[in-house]
This record gives sequence, C-alpha cells and structure tokens, in this order.
Amino acid sequence: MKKIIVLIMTLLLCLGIAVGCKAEEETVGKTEMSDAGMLADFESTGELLSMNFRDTVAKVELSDRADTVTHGSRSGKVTLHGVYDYEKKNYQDSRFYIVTGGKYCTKTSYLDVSSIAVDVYNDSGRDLLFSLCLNNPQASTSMFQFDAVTLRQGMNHVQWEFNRALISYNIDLQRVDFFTFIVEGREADEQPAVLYFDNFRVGTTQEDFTRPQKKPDDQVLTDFSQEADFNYYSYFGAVSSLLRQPIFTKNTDIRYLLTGNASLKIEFFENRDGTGPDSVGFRTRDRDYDWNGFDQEKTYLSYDLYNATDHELTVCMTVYSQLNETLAVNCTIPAQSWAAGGNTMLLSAINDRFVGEGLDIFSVTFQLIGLRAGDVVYLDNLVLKEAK
Amino acid sequence: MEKAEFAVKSVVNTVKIMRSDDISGYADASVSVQTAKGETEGAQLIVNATADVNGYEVRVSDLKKGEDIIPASNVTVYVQKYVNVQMGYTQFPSGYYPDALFPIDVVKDHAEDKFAAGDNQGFWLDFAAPSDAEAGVYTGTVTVTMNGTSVEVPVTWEVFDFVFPQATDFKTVYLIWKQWLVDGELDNTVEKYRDYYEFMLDYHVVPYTFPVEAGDVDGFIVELRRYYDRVPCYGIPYITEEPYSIDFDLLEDYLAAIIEAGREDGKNYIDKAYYYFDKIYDEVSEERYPYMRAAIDSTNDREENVVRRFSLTGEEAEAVRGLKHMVPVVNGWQDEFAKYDELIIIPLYNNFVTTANIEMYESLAAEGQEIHSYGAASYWPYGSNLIDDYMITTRDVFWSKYSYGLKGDLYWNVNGYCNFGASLGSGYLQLNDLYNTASHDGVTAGDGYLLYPGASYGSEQPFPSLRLTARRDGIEDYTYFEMLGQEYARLSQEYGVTLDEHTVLDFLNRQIFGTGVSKLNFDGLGEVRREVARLIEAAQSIGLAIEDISLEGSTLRISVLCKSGTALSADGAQVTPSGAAGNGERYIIEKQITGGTVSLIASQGDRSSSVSLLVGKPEETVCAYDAAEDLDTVTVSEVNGSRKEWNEDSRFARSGGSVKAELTGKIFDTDALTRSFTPYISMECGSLQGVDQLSFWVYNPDDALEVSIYAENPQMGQQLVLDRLQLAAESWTEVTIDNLNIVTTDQSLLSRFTVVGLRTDNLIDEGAPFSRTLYVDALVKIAK
Repeated sequence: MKKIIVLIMTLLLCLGIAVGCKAEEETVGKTEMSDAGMLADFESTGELLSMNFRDTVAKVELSDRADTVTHGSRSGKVTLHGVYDYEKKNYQDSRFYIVTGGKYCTKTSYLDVSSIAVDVYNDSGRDLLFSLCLNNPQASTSMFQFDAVTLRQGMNHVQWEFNRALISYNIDLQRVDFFTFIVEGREADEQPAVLYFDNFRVGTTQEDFTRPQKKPDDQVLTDFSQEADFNYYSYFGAVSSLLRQPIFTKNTDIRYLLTGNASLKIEFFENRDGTGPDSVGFRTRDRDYDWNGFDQEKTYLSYDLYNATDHELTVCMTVYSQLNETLAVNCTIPAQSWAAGGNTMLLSAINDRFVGEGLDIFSVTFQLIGLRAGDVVYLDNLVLKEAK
Repeated sequence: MEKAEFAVKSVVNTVKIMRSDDISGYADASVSVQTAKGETEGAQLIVNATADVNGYEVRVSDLKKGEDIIPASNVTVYVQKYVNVQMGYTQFPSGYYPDALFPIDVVKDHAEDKFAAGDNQGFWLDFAAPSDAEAGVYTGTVTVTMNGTSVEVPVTWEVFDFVFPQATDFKTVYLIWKQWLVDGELDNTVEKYRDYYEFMLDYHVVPYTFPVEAGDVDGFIVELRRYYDRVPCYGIPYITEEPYSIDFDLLEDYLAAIIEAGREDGKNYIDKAYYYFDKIYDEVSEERYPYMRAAIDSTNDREENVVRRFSLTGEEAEAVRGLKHMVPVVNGWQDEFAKYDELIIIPLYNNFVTTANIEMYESLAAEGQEIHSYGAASYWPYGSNLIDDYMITTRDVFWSKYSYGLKGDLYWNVNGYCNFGASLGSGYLQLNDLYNTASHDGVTAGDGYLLYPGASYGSEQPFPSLRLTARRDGIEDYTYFEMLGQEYARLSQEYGVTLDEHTVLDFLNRQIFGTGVSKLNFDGLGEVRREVARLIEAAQSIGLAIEDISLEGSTLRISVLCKSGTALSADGAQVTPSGAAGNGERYIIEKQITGGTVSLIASQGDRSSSVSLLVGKPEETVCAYDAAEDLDTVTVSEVNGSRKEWNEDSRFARSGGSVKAELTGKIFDTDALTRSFTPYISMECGSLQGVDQLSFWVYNPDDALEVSIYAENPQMGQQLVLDRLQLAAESWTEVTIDNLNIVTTDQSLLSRFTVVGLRTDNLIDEGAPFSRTLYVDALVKIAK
C-alpha cells in the first residue's frame, strides 16, 4: 500500500502538481516523466562541462551506477573537496552553478513553474546540508534561496515548492540567470563529500501567474498581509555558511502576531564552529521606498517584535543611509514578550543625522544582542506611525 | 574509402601552415632534426590530398646509427588541430590556424582522423633524444598513410655530442589557475594540478606553485623535496588576508620549514625560492607602491626572524635575506624600483624594443638587478603568444632575451578554459567548445591558455599547443647559449683570458633578431642553432673558443683561442697561431667574404671538431661622405633653421670627410607645434628592399643626446620610427638599423623607403631654442 501511495505521489509530480517533499531514505527507482521540465539530466561530459564548478574544488564525472541514476542512463558524480578556509581550519561550503539559456539547460522563464526538484544520492558517509538558489546567493536582491534540506545517506528526492508570488518579488521569473547548488563544507578531518546528482527538473502548472503588486500603503512597509512582505528581509552580518543562515517563514499562529493574520517567523541556527548563532540579526532588503512626504516631527519608524526565547534580547534597530551614515535605537525585550518601548525612531532625528536634503534610508537592520543558536523571533509590522 | 593522391611536404618547424595555405612550393617531405642528448625538438609534415581522407596513420620507425638505436617510441606524433580565427586583433589574416596538438592515437581512437580534400593536415613530430644516446646521425623513416595508401618519408636525426641539462636555469613562472582547471578537466583538485605541473616540466616551463594547497606547509615540504632538483625556481605560497596584505605568520612558517628541511637534507633549498604576491603587486602601479613597500618590509622582518631563530650566518643568512619578489610591470622600469634590492622586475615584451631601453636593462642587469620579461596578449612585432601570429617569434624572442641579459619569463595563465570575457553573478561563463573556440577573452585568439584539456578525450594529461612547443624550443635554445657561456667561463679559467660568449652569439644572432624584433629567418634559425651546438661541442671536446669576431666592409676578422698544439684551418687554409694567449694559443683569421659561411676545423691528434659560422653578406658602402657633393644626399630641417655643410676635419670623420649638421630648435605660435617639431638629419640610402641592416656613424661633440631613428618613404611623406637611442657624449656612436621588419615585411613596399635618418626632440631650453652639432659618416648596408 505504501508503495502504491509513493508511486501515486510520483505520478502527481509528473503531472506538475506541487507536492511538498523532503529527502527520503529509501530508493524509489527511476522516474518516468516528461522531459519538458528537465533542467539537467547529467547524461554527457558536454553537459557537465557546461556547469560551473570554479568556486569550489571538485572532481566531476559521469556515473552509470544503477542506484544513483533516476532518469536516463547516467548521473553526475561530484566529489566535493571544497576550498580550504585557512583561518577557520575547515572547508567552505561548496557552490556550483548551472546557467540557464544554454545548450543543455534551455529554460529561462520560470513563470509556469510550481515545483523544483533534484535527486541526490549521498555517498559521503555522513548527512549533509544542501540548498538551491536562484541566481547569486550572496546578492541581497535578485536572488531566492530555498530552505536547506538534509541529505541523508543514500538517495534523496529533494523537492521544493516554487511559490511564484514569493519568489517573483525579488526575481524576474522571466529571466532566471542561473541556479546555485550549495553543499555544506566539510571539517578538516572529514573526507570529501561524494554526491550523485540526477534529474534536476521543474514541475509546471497551467495556472496563469501575474506578479502580485504590493498594494501601496505609504505608511506600512511590512505588515505581512501580503505575500511580498515575506521576501522583504534577509540575514544581517556575516554568516559562516549559507546553509545555516536564518530562515524566514510565514507564521499564522495568533500568539505571535499583533495585527492581521500573519507575521514573519525568523529562526536562527548554530554556526559551523558551534560557537553561537550564524548571523546577528536580520535586515530589510534593498527596495525603493519614498521616505519623504511625512511630517517628520510627528512620524516614527516603528516595529513589533516578539521574543519567543527563554531569555532577554536587546534589539538594536539601525537605519543606514546610502552614504553609510547610521542612527540606532535599542529596545530590550523580556523572554516571551513583545517589544514595548524603545522600538521607535523619529524621522526628524534620522534626518538630522543624515547629510543632504531629503530622507534617504538605504536599509534598516535589526541586530539581536544576546541571540543564541536555536532562537526564534517574530516580526510583525514595520510601519511609519504618526504621533497623536 | 577512396584512394587518395596526396602530397607530403616538409616545412621548417618555425612556420605555421594554415589549413588553406598553398604548400606546393615547399620541398617534398624529408625530416631533418637536430637535438642534443636529452633534448626534444620538433619537426612537421604537411599533407594535402585530392580526395577526402577518412583514415590516416603516421608511424615512425626506429632510428638507427650503425648498432645504435633510438626506438620509435622516442618520437611522438601529434595531429595539428585547426581553429578558426576571425578576430582581427593581430591584423593577421582570418582563417584556420593550427594550434592544439593531439597525440595521433587519441585522434584515431575518437575517429577524428579525417580531413577534407584540398585542406592541409599538419603533423608535428617531437624527437626526444635519450640523455645517454650516442652522438651522431641516425636515420629512419616516417610512414604516412592516407586512405590506405602509404608514402615513406626519410628521417635524419643528428644527435649533438653534449647533454642537455635535466633542469634548465631559465626561470619561468607560468601560472596554472587551479580553480579554472575544472572548466576543461572537470577536476580542479591537487591531483589534477599535479598532472599539469608534471606536464609543463617536460616543456621546461615551471608553474608558480607546487601541487599542494596553500597553507599546507608540511605538504609543501614534501613537494619541495620531490621537485627541487627539477626546477630552476619555485614560488612560496601565500594567503591573502586583506585586499593588499598577506598572512605573514604563515609566510614565516614556510621559510622556517624550508630551512629545517634544508638542514635535514643537507641542501640549500632556499636558494631557488622566490615570492610572487600577485594580489599585492602584480602589474604594480603608483597607487600600489605603498602596499608593495609594506609587504617587502614585513617580508624582510620575517626573514630576520628566521635568521635569528635558526642562528643562520654567512651564506645561509644571506640566502634568506636575498630572497626576491617577482614583480611584473606594464610600463617598464620605474625610479621607484631603484629603492629596493629585493625585486626581480618583469616588464612586458614591448619594453625591450629600442636601443635606449635595451641598453638600460642591460646596464641594470650588469649592476646586479635581475630582469625577466612577461608576455600577455603580445603579438607581432613583439614576441608572440597568440594563435594568429608567427610561430618563430614565440621561439626567437628567447634568443633576444639571452642577448639582453634577461633571466626568466612569466606567463599569466596556461589554462584559461572559460570565457573570461563575459560573466554573470556565477562568474565567467563556460565555453561551449574548448577545442574550436580561438578566443577565450572575446578579444584575442589564444591569450590566457597554452594548453588544451584532455578530459573530453579520455586523457589524464592536457594537450600542448604549437605555442607552448615553440616556447619549449626557445628555452632550449636559450639553454644552448647558457651552456656555451659555461664552457667559455671554464675556458677563461683554463686559458687565463676572458672569454664572453655574447661576442660570437651576438654576431651569429644578427641573422635571427634585430633591435626589438625578429628577422623572421624561418629557415636560418635551425642553421644558427646548429652552429651554436657546434661551438659547444668544439669548446667541450677540443677547447676551441671564439674570442672575437667582427665585420668591417668585406673583411671578416675572427680571433680564435685553442689549446697549444691545435691545428686550425679556416675554409681549408691552415691558420698559424699568432701567439700565446694565457695558457692557450690565439689564431687570427682575416678573410674577405662575399657571404655564406666560414668553416673552422680544429684538430688535436685524432680528435677534431668543426664549426661553420654563418657570416652573412659583406658591408657595402652606401655613402662615405668623402666628397663635398655627397652633401646633396643629406637633408636637414633647414626651413626651420638647421644647417648642413661638408666637413673635412679628420677629428670628426671616420675617413675622408663627413657631413656636419647643426640642428636648431624652434618655438612656434602654438605649444602643440612647438612640442611636435623635431629637428632632423635625413640620408638617402636607396631602396631598402633586400636590405638586412644599415648602419652609420654619428659623432656627438657635446653632452649625451637622445635621438630617434627612422626610415622614410619620401614620396608618401611617411616616416616610421625604428629606434630610440642615446648618442654618447664627445664620441662616435654606430647607429645600426637592423629591424626593418617593423616598417613592413613586404619587400615590395619596403622598396619605397629610400631614406633613413635621425631626429631629436625640439631643442628648447628655458624657453629659448638652441643648436646642437652632429657629424654623420659612413653609411653602409648589408644585404639579406
């Protein structure tokens, strides 16, 4: 019965219906599906040469090992040695790229995509974190990174839902330039990762898609009433690994929202060194916003943040200008509490600090002092409020 | 398979034959190659068939000399692969140029042994002489088979009677970009880097770093022990810390490890080490001088730490303190560099093209400043790195390097296997077809790579290019010159007379290169090379050395040193010793020459050695300026105040008379005109067609003066500057024009150039014009 269910799910996948899917431990067998959504099938040396492995240290070859092949007759065996980080005494995460619009990965428009998937056989002797990014994972805009998944030893059928509304906020889906595959780096005493990739593909949908326009509301930057709001934040500060950066997800648990029916859950993970959280907070992504036209003497930039940890956190909100000028305000939030007081900044104070005419805020950052690995906070409402 | 009628032609290994070239004028094939023991030299055969060829084979027999055999396995047969070049960067014609060399078995295994009717198919044969081979002439055959029809080509292989060193002294720094190996090889691990490292050593070019990750000091020492005896130099790796600094703690760890290993092994490992912090001072410019200064100061501090730590004294300590930094520069020597003792300056090829510059670098070298050279996308008339260019200039540039005292060469990337002219956020783009894409940068054909990846053809090794092969051969030629120098140093000790190999080499090399440019002597390079080999043999076997050689008019004068009791003949005529020269004997030969060679045979008992010196044509007087009417053949900038007159004062004439020119500066209405005005002396010289060299003498009675030398087409008013040099103060300077190839390589166009001359910058001092007097005399030429 279980096998029938699995087969049915696989068939649904073939029909392009999104199915949430985490990495599986059992080998499912070859996928029979239309090649229309095929992005990379790892079938020829020419295809491997069209991929870019220059940012890591690797050996790449074709394999006909049966238990690694899920489509066609070959898979791509990638032995990832990684680039040694001399200072940290470990190996950096490995990245390689598949560029679109070429001889092999021809698809450049992803307007019709509902899911994206790849089969990965992990022959490394250990579990590995793995993620996929559209475009450059180190760019704050024009990129989208899927949540990291754990590749168990053996075959993993990895699939992510392709939320067009969410993704389209940062990326022009008619023009995805390349995919970035990210595999966590090894420790100094670990062996190179050995992964077999096959059947990198998308599932498609017939449903039309029009990029949702954020409804204009001069005074609301994000209140998470719109899909676009969930793509408005990124991690802040250096991260030890793109696979351990904070994850931003939609929260509908009413305990953690103040207005509307959603807020942003931000979860922090331990860094590679095991010495604390990876990242110090979060920040707004670059976006055009007109900060002028308000009565600056009466208008405050304000945020609502819930500290869902068991310890106190101090939030340092800092606004940055294009010229890197800053103004900061601190707010201490007790455990299991909303920020109350100190979570606002008067626009006129910002204007006084910044040089030049007009208010030109480039980014707003939220540094969480006292943050620990595993901590979770909820952000609701980054808005401009007028004092009464 | 259709039976193919085909022609097999021999072409010297200094010429590239394009796929569509007409080869009918080349000689029917016979392979003739000369090597030292332990040396590799190439030869080529070009095939053209009347029908499509769908299968071919080229096989070499064993090479035999009596009972001595060099097995066929010592000859590697490559297929020349053609790539379409349409760039126009070098202004050579578009078309299919040969570059990649594929082993013939690889080609056949992949069923690519085919070519179209009427197209050329080139084969390159590398002859590798064993280091223990007997000297002499070996013979054999090459069997060329097209569509089942075979032709036998005779092979003659002369092995010179000296051994080529396992490791040359010529210091190369050729960069393998390890990360980029993956673009062609699907592998950028240390193991693949090692494949490339070993491959390049066979071509006498040394990659910057050993095959080991930067930061792995223990691994570095393992590689140092493995390769030390095979390389003339090696780079100490570094890790960048900030944009323009490095991890100096790690650097000190490397130095300490090298010293420790040296003590354990009883070897002075540090003596071949160098630094190349390319992230700090590659192509250094004024903005980076402070960072370079800081890096050198910090390096010096760490060296002192190591000296103290190991209590080094004397030579050991000086070896550490004497470590140098390799600094490539675009605009040549700068005053800034004189502040340092720690630099090896590496200018681009185009900094060695005028007498003034060459003499400057020779002077710096004589003062102990080590100079190398480096080529990026250089092309004719400079030493070439590109596909659509001459092959000979990739090789004979190493001849000029020896003459100018350059000790090494740097090339920035041998494996640019991506499209580094275009990028996305993922980095440079991939190339669709590495074997049929000439340009990897979107501009030039060939810059950034000298190798081709082997992975697509199942080869662990990369494939070489003709350009890499020409470099190998050029470095081997350079090593011949060094070997002659070593022999002359030994004989200097033995005879107690100073011998300088440059004297005879510069004379012979007049056939090969002029000031800053190759003479494109495609057939002659092999002949001169053979002469140098004979000189080495003669020096080793019988102690013969050329002390001096010169040509004046049609009189050739050679001074030869030999051991006492040597019988010496010149062109069959016995030469009597003119007297003792230290512990040897000196023989003076004076001959009237009409061209060709002078053959010397030296005998001692039953041993003998012979040398045939290519002496070229005699000098012909164009104008001696001994008569007043000769003044009519000279013009000066008279309209703007300069004057000329015939001179009889013997102090200022080589013989008879000379032309006295008083050059005067002038201030014009505009600054632009004033700056552009150059007082000049022009001399009619007749057509330059067929001329190899012109020279004239200039007496400068005043302070040193820098002048430009030009050739002129008076009908078109076209002047081309050929050189810039300094006229020494209060003395005669012989001005030699030997680089007419810079004007044009087309002899019919060259016939329109009938005037040569010199000009100065405008003679203005503190806002006032002044005059300078010069005397010109003795305009002579030498025909090709």
